[in-house]
Amino acid sequence: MFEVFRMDRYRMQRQKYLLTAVLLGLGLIALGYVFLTLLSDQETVNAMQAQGAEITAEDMADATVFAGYTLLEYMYQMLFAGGFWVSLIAVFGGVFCAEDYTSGAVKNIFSTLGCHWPYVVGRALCLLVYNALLMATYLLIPLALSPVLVFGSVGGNLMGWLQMYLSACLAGWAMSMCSMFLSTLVRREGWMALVALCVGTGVPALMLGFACQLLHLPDLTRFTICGCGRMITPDFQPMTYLHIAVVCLAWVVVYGLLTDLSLRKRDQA
Amino acid sequence: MQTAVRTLGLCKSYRGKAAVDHLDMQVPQGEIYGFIGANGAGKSTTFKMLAGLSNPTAGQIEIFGQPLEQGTFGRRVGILIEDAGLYGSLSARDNCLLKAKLLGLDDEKSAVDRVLAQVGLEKMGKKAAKRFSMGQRRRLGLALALLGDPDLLLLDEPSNGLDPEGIRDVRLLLQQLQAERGVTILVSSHILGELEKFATCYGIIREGRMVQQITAAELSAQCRDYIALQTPDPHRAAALLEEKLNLHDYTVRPEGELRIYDAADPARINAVLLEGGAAVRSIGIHRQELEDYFLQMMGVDDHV
Repeated sequence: MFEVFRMDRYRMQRQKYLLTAVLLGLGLIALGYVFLTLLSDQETVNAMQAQGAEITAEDMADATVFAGYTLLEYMYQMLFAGGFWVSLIAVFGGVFCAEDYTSGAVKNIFSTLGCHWPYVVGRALCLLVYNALLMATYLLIPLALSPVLVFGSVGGNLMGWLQMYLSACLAGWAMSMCSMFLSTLVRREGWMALVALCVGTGVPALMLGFACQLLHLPDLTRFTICGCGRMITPDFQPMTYLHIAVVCLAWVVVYGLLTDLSLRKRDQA
Repeated sequence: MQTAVRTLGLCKSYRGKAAVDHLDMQVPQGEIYGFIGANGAGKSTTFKMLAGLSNPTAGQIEIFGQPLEQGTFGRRVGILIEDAGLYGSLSARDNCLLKAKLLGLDDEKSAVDRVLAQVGLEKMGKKAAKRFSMGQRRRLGLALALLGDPDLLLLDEPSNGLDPEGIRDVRLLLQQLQAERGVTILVSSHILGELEKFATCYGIIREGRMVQQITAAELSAQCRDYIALQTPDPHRAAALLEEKLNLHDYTVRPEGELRIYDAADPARINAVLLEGGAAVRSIGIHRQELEDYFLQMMGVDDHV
């Protein structure tokens, strides 16, 4: 089990999975920050319009709202309100797992392990660490830079930040486990990226929501991973956090078992 | 002699079509077992089942006397099946380090250096595996199989894509592993002439079934003399010989040569064919090559 974890950790490092996801996420956060900062300064807006830039009233409204944000609120808007990070994690997790199949490395892995559970548990651990590190980087780097950023204050309290971090880690982990399971079915990096993007952007949750509406059932989307991702709030709400934690951990177990089942039933090469 | 690999009634079907059909195989411990069969005969499927990568439809597999399902011997087995299973963006060294970590080796770096030197890839540096030639990928696959000093090697076409020097190097390496550490090697190859040089026993598979298991010494004794006959219509000539001389043990080679294994006088054969109006271009006695024997057993020859 720990051998698989060590192997996966080394591969993530050498193939720069963490670095790429960190740079991509922070790049988008920084891009949003620069854009909104520019729009919140009227002189800059005038200069941009003079250069021919098209700035809509909606952009200006966003900039006005942005001017009143704390760092916590901005990070919440950038990362969690749109569900961007869930999609990113789904795709990265899916491609990472599917590469075992496209490369044929599964042959070396499973012939060495002899059974499947060390693979499932070891990889699950690695994906948890990946999510924890990724989210920590996304939140800690802006926090460390907060003195030089334009936000009035950091905002929130320790529990608020911690809830946001832990909820994101758990939801991200559950989504990665979903990707791991799907990769045992799809087994192609390209297709896996596409499937993971669909799952990560919440297409299945959306369809479930429609189905619930049509069938007059209570809204079940809050029991989906994407639904939990959208429930993350910048304020500390113990019951919400508990709900996210229980649902996401349940999905981790379910996808772990499904992965094991899939590996048992299907040939690996 | 102890058995390293034993299969009993091993079957594998894909959509109802049998790829491996009640295969009974015994690989003696410490031997180099040449596994021979035509394309699609079921060699790779058998390898995959032995490596635990494919679930048998029926039958049993024992590795070192233990049922495969117990899965406690994974680290004693090194495999190279079909393509090498490499992460293309990583170097040879990184690919080996990943396997070393998976094996939980204590001194992974020196183990990796050793196997890379054994296969002649110690100077590949940071070059990504996806930029390797086919031969280099094969060598790296072999290095991965050798990591952890396995007691059993399952090698499916290890010489594929190698140049003559590489083929010789692989042969010498396998012979060395068998001689020095008593490693059991189950190896398949299409280069039968090469396999002859180092295999100590053979299993011949045809349409998923084991046709024959034979030691190298037994095989050598079984290679027979034959009369090679060149004639424009070998099938007609064969029919004439059956009728006139009661000869039944013969084959017609794809290139049109008629080979008669029954003891017979070439002069008498020549006379019978001339009487029957079948022209004879050449006739002579030859010694059967091992390769010919394999081809005959594998069913490649077109027997009339």
